[in-house]
Amino acid sequence: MGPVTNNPFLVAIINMTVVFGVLIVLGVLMHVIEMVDPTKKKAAPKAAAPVAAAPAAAAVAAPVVEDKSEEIAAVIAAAVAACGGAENVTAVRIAAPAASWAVGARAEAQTVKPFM
Amino acid sequence: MEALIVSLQSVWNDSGFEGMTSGNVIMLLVGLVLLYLAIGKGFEPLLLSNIAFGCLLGNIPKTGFTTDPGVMQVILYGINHEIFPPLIFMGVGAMTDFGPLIANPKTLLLGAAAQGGVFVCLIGAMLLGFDLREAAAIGIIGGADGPTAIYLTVKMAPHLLGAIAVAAYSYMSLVPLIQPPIMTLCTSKADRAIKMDQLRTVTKFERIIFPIFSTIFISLLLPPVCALIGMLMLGNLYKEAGCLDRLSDTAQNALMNIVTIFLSVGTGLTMEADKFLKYDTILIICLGLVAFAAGTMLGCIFGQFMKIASGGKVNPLIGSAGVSAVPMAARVSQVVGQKANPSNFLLMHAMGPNVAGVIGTAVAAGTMLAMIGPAGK
Repeated sequence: MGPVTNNPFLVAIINMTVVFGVLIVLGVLMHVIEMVDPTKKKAAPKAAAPVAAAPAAAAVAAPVVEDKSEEIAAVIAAAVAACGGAENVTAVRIAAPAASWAVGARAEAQTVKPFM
Repeated sequence: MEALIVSLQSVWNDSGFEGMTSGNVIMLLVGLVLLYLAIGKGFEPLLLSNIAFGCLLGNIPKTGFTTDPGVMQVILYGINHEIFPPLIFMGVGAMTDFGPLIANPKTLLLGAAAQGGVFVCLIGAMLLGFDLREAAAIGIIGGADGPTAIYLTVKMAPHLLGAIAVAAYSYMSLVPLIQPPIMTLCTSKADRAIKMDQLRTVTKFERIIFPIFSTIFISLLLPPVCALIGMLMLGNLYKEAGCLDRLSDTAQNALMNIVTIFLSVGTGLTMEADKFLKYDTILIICLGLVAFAAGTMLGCIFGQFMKIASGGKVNPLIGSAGVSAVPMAARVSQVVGQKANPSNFLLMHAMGPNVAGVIGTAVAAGTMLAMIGPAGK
């Protein structure tokens, strides 16, 4: 059997429609999987637990914020240098909770290798 | 004395020197240049060094690689019968984290948009005189996905395998050079500096169910790419199942390395002078560049649409990762984004369209196979 059409523009339009269609269906599939996920409810209470403990953590963190001594900065800079990090540490700051993802991404960027 | 001369004459007649053509000499030089680029310049050395060495071996006359049984025939069998690309996909699946894609399914659209490069190239190839099957095989270079390019070319236009494989892998290794100027052209500095929200946590259940059901759906819709998608998802299942660590480790490392050696050496073996040194090869290499550039541009442009639709929450740079080239294209998004805003971390956001690009390229290949049909049928 020969090709359905030899018109390249038609081939391109039909193919792009199919590619978008398939990937949209996969997106819907992901939403459905998320909705029917039986483990989601179990995960939610676990996530709530650290929130309850947050005030205690904040109380502990307070004195750390006050302590901006050069000695601590020097220790951190030495640790970074020992790990083969930057030559000059220009700033040391407390990471926001949301930055844990960024730290993960940074580690990923350093270790990732070409696959294909 | 006469016996000595006859013997020497016999050795000479059996030697490769006797059968050497100018084309072989040129291809040996090409192989040496590729080796220099791989080892000296570090351009995708794990692949390019094997391709280059395969090119050297493939252009030595009278080796009998294509006629006599032996390891080279086994390697060529693996190439010609589409054995290696699905095995590479298994390793890719085992190494790839689908989490960012599952956490933000909208990025699937970026992976789809970047496939536009495939079809820009297909149209260009047909306008330059290639037939539809050849144009489809050339177009898939724009997917920036070596195994899929080889898989489709073997089915559609096996005589172009050497040129297409070399173009695909060469441009994949040049992604960090090709993409950034196009990304800069399609975005403003303010766009590039956009910080995206942290992705939600993806449960283990989602990570396990997604590869299973997506395999069933795509394979039922497009059976010709069942081997590619199936192995990709099986590899990912090894990674996510939690009880298949040994298989995951093998797929990611030992198997992946072995198959990479076979696939890339086999690709190099197909670069014989009489098949490679043609005007078409130059056209294919130029079209491949157009395909890469168009895919990157369309991904970024679609990223701009998503930025507007999301109220400025999406960084359009992640659109360029919609061309496959896992994970290099995502890494380029990260690097370019971080230049505009040093506290910007786009890597995991860009992995969504990057993985979507792998699936999208396989779907595009399957659709073309379904529409056009393999060569000789």
